[in-house]
Amino acid sequence: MGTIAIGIGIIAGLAAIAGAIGVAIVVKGTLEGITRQPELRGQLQTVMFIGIPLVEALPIIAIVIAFLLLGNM
Amino acid sequence: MNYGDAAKRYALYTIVLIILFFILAALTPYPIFFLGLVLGAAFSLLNLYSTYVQVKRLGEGALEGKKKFAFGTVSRVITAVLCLLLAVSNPHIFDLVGVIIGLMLTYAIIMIEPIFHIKRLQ
Repeated sequence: MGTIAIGIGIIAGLAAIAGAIGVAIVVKGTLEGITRQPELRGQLQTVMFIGIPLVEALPIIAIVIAFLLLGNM
Repeated sequence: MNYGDAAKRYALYTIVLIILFFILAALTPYPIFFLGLVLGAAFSLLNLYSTYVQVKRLGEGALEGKKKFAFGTVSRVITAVLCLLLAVSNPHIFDLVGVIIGLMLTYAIIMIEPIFHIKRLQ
């Protein structure tokens, strides 16, 4: 039981770190681009709109796995 | 290319799939699985809208040069956990596997859909 609890903590923590770093990189790049070239705002926002879910999918799956493990404890 | 059009397209695909899952839940002998898919896809649609609002706010903030705070990722993770809680508390209505697949539906659409536009981009 203790091992599962440690595993849940590691999974949730790593998911949070991965999600935070990934989304931060995507948003940072896009916002810098928009500030530099405001006329490309539409295209850059499209890239951000597609990029954020691509990055976020894995952390959400990890959180789901952690939650399922929590239910099986 | 406007990101609002892309968001509308993805939302349309998801709504069509939700309606299809409803029909399949009524017609096939696996209603619990398809109702789980419907629940997951509905929350996935909510996540898509949350992403749309976040992108819109951040873009406006970058143009105006103002700071904008967003709880995008946190709210989406909380939505996913709420969806799972709903599925776990009602196992006779929603299948857990279906809910998880449904939750990832818009993400899968976003990954697959650009493949059909490769020819146009070239």
